[in-house]
Amino acid sequence: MSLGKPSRVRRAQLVANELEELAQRISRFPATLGQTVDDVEVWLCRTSRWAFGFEPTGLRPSLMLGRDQIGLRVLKDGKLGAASCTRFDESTWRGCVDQALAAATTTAGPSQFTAPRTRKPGPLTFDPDLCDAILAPGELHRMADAVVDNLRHEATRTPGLTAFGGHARYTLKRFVVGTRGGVCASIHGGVSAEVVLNRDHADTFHTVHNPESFQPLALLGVRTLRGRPTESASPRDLGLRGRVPVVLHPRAFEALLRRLVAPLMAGSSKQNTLGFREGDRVAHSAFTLVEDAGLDGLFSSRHFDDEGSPTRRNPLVMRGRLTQTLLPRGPNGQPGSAASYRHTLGTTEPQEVGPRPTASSLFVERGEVAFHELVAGLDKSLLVQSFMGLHGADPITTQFSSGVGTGVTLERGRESRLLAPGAWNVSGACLTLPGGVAGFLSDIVLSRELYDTGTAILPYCLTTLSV
Amino acid sequence: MLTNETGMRATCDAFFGAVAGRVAGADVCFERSTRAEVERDLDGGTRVTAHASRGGLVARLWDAQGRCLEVGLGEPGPMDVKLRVEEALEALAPLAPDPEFALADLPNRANRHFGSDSVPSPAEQRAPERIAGLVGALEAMVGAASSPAAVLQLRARVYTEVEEKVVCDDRGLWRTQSIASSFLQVEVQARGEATRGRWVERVGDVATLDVLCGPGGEPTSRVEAAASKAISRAVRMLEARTLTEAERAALTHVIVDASAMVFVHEACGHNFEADIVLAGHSGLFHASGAPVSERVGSAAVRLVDGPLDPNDGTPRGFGTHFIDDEGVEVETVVLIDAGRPVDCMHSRETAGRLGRQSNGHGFSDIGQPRLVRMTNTSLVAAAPQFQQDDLQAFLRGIALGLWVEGSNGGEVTGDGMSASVQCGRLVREGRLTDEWIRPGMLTVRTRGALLGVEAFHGPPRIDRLGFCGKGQTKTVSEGGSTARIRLSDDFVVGC
Repeated sequence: MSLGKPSRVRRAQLVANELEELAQRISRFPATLGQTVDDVEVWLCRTSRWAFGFEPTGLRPSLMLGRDQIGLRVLKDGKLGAASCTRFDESTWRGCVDQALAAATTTAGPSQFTAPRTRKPGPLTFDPDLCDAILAPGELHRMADAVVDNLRHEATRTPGLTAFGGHARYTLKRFVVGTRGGVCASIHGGVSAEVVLNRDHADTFHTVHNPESFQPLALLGVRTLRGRPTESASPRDLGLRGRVPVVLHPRAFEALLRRLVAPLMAGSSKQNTLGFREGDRVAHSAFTLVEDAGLDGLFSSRHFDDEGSPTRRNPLVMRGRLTQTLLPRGPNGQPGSAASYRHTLGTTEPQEVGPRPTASSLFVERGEVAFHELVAGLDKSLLVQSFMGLHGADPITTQFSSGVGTGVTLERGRESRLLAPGAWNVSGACLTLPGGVAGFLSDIVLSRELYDTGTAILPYCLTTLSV
Repeated sequence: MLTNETGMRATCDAFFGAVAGRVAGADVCFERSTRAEVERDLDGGTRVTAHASRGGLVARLWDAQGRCLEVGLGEPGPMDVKLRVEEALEALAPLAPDPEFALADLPNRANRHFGSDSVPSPAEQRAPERIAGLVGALEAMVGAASSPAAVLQLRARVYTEVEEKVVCDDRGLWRTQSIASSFLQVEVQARGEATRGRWVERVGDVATLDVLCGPGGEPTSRVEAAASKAISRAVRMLEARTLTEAERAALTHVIVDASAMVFVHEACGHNFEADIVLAGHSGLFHASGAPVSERVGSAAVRLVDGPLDPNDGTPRGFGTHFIDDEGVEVETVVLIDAGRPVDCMHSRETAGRLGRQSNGHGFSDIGQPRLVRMTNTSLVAAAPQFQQDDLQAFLRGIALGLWVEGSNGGEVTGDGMSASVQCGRLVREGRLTDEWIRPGMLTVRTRGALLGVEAFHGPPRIDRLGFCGKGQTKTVSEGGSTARIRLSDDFVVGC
């Protein structure tokens, strides 16, 4: 595929043909193994990426053309073995199968697997006539060029603007999962962009559908620039210390939910890892959290997971009560509620050790208060747009302490000053555990506005945290 | 000789044949790794990947007008590579010319192999079997330490891998490297009546599985020590508490143990990567390469990145490579000396733009574009008078301090950074107490991070292993001597 030509329609045909060929070859492979295995599951992710970094000297291009990641799991006499490679080549796969088979048959332990977990033959979910995942990279190049040109121009005439950066990126992923039972395949494209000004203020753009207009992307730089407060403030300037009202931007809210709440909703029984049971109150009655890989328009949405099973909608918390635990599938093909993925969000590499139950797209139900009403009553507080390092978040207590990456002060109900870099730290806990500190999800007000982060749809969240 | 070096050469030859006469220059890094990995979950489930091979070729093309494109071509064979070259060339043409583009010369173009001539593959090391034995031994240790008052659970991840690479160009360069590395992460979770505790320890090196276990999977002394520490610290965390508001306000010092030196990786290391400098994202340098300030640390500070000193001739340090992914021998770089910025880490491209020599820090994750990356980063005393080996003297004069240990990672945004700590211990009136503080975060304004360093204690240790992100993953390690840092407005302790 080239940057400028051929047209989007022609490109869609080329990608459709390529996906069909991948699916055909994967579907034929299990039969070539004869009786050496009882079954084999082949998972493929082919990634292409066109990226342009925004730098003071211009665009920095970076391309990745057709990078394959292939995971194989073999079943023999009730035992499962796994191997992986990055080469789309049947003889390499046969070598992987031999290695996986050797490990499976020499591993001690019960023979518990009766079938690989991919068993439902599915249709190709990609329809070239409907495909809007395809973007001519030339369009992205022209748009990125416009953004960086605009930023360079603004940098010369905007006092105080000393540095800018960011990127525009188009990623195309093809997923195929095949066994002797069948094959399923899909294609996912997405454009994302980010502009960062003076290393302390950022804005993002993303879409998984071909937009009718690229104007929002072209205007990203200007939007970021116009929305940037010119002054910054430290906790001392604001006189804030201790427990203070904090508004979590949906991106920051999602980061906390993904790291500390969604994983804890997974378990091997009706009781999850934190000890909550279904029906227990875990959050304020305004809080409803749904895991739904079928949400349209999100990078994290998929029709089938990395085991080839159809995904489903899982209400995790309804009006503050735990309604469902994400259960993995059983070894004998018992249905589970959790989808399993090799890629976890935020990582570039698949897990070497195979798919694991993971939350896909997240949805939090809206509140009843408009954002401006939410902040109108606050004399002094913070709007945290991103965290800087949630690595210290403790998954067994849901406590966290993190620096603030970007954010602004809310003074007299308005966005006022930037949060000085490296000067702000917020801490708290997400959930209230027996004997533990109170979780912030028990004390929240959610905005009426919903925000699409690219992997979740959430409202703004007003709560109280320690600063 | 690499495994299937003939095949790799055929692919590279096909690549250079396809671009010959169509670009001003081209170079390639072709990497392959083979790994065996076992992961044990908290619920006892174990997942084994006996064989995980990854390969990738990344190529750089540039023309006479300075248009340069770095492109990942996947793991192609000789036929595929020609098709993908056409796509890459089509992408190169519309780029804007860049008159400032230059690649620094390779200091040494001698073709040779780096690393051992024969590194045993995971299969030859009987890795799945041995790792299974090792995990079994860890389970036994954790099981024996578990009690009704502190129920312990184990999560472990172990792998061993062999990585091979070729760096070549259109002028006949052919440099190869083979390196083995092994890694273990032990996480112990403790469950008390109403509290929870957790500790993570890592062990690893650029070595075969022997660094972790014996022929039957029996743990080495390093692994036993790490597992014992994880167990005892997880139990200790059941009694730990958070800092009170009054204590946070009264803190005068933080003492950063070598195991928490991800702090220095984030606070300073990334800001010395020349690609970040040139992009204008460094909090310590202007985009021109000039430092923002003459002083970025106290006179006590010396910051170094590079291969560890191999006293016995064996390379050490989880981030160690002999050559980078541009074929340049990796040099030890002094980044800060006596508090003053001295040098940056460079790839050939950043060195070319700034008129410098590359010091061998251009690395990529397999098949991805090369970036400037750290290897093993350490913070040590710039002069003997700042080294205090007597603990009592080292802590003297601290009214209320927090000794922090362990880390699960951190993040930097240029002007600010955060690094997690696994625990803290209060120091009161110059004495290390038994008051343990729960995990937390050090949040620091980058420019002031090292200005308050007063002294160092103990010999340098580079035990903290990490997987540094920057859009890609690279193995690194951090450490140094324990540092005593006076707190200022630039420093926020969140525990």
